[in-house]
Amino acid sequence: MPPARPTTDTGPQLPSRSTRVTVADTVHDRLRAGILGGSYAPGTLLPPEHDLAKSEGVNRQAVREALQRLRQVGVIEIVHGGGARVLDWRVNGSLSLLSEAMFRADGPLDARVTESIFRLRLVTLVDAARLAAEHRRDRAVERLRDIVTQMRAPEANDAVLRGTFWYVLTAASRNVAYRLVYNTQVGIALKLPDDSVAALLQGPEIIDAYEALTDAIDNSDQDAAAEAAHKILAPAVAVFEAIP
Amino acid sequence: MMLQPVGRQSVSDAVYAQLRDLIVSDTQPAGSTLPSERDLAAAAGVNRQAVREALQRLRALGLVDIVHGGGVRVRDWRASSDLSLLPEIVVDANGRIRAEPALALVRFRIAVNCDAAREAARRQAPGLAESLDAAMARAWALHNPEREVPTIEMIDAYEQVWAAIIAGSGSVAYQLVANSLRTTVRSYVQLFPPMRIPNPIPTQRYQETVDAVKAGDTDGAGIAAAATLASAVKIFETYTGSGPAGG
Repeated sequence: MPPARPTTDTGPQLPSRSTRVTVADTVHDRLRAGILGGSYAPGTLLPPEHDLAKSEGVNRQAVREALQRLRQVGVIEIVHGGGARVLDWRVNGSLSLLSEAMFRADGPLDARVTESIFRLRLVTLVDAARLAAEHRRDRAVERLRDIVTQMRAPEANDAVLRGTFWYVLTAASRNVAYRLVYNTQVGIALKLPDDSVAALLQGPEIIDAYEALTDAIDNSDQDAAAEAAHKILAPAVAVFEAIP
Repeated sequence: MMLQPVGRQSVSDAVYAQLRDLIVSDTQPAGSTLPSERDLAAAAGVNRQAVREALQRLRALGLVDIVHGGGVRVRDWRASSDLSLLPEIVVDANGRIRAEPALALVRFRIAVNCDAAREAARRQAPGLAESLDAAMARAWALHNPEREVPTIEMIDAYEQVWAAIIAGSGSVAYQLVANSLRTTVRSYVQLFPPMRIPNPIPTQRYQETVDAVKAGDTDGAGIAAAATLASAVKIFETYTGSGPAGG
């Protein structure tokens, strides 16, 4: 069992990628976007390594690296003889495609995919709330109370405080999968276009639900915690559900 | 004897898996720096290209930062990695299941699959009943109440039932979760033989879930799905000797 380390308690970090972008990264991103966007249909072969290197203006090693990573995320398979066949990413793709799948090839948000992501967030974080109530700890309750108090301050930065609240809650759930869900949703939120972010904004009355959630965790009341968490998270699903 | 060719990629995969295990087990703690590419290559007895590929993969998963000048710093992965790391931390480089993430994953999967069952029941997508019936027919064909532990074929058959339910939910997010966890779920079969748990995943429970989904009974489908997966939780609690808290 990994020990609880102080480093896990320093607050939310953005799941940023390293700042150094390699040539292979660029090739990988372009091919991946092409596959998710439908420019390369499932079953077709990608152009040979040397053709890709030529058209992308990079060396073959970078292309090879990019192809290996595409294989790891399940969008291509390397076939006998070294060619790369495009797979149906919906059937084979890994979770790392989640945020990219939100966007259609021509740019706009795909409402169905985005709805599905927010629904995943809803059901998992509601369960994290249950676990946080089950494993109630004074330290976590104190921190959650402190965040709710800050939310009520006149000039509170809502987005940051709400993010920190879920960070503390998922850590308190002691379920590493839910901690990774939290990190994923931070990455997703950063990619959302401004109009979607605006549609997701909740008024100050939602702070009561955050307080109810904190009370429920304090009382080790799993059902009440789940109910309050649902109240906070369900509206975001409805926003995308309403988009045809 | 048939041997599979050992590709350059397998070498890099092996280096990746070892480094990954050191990081997610906190043996190589957050904030520490990995040895240089050259030293890693020498220690593993592989070429530097394989090490480079392994490091890039660790970076893509949010486990390390590759800083200018070539140093590699270990990140606090619980705060820096996203869900794509989940299937990577359940089974170690030697194929053994790690208890804490395995339990966390089971709980996560219950949340996802129960909601998928509810959604599939609500949507009643065309072809849903046929694909559910086909998957159940395979499961019943393999069903053997005398057998103490499920075979890998049995687990695959049950997974086909979940696959049909998840396809019926119409959720791309759940689909990607299922795709990512497919290999991991198969590896769970290793837990059963030493534990001798009789009939741990009853086919009848799957049938009840499928019946509720087909009938459009949203709540019933969610409840039946939870009951189906509850046995999995018991298995893992027995395995780890603890509750979902993981100590």
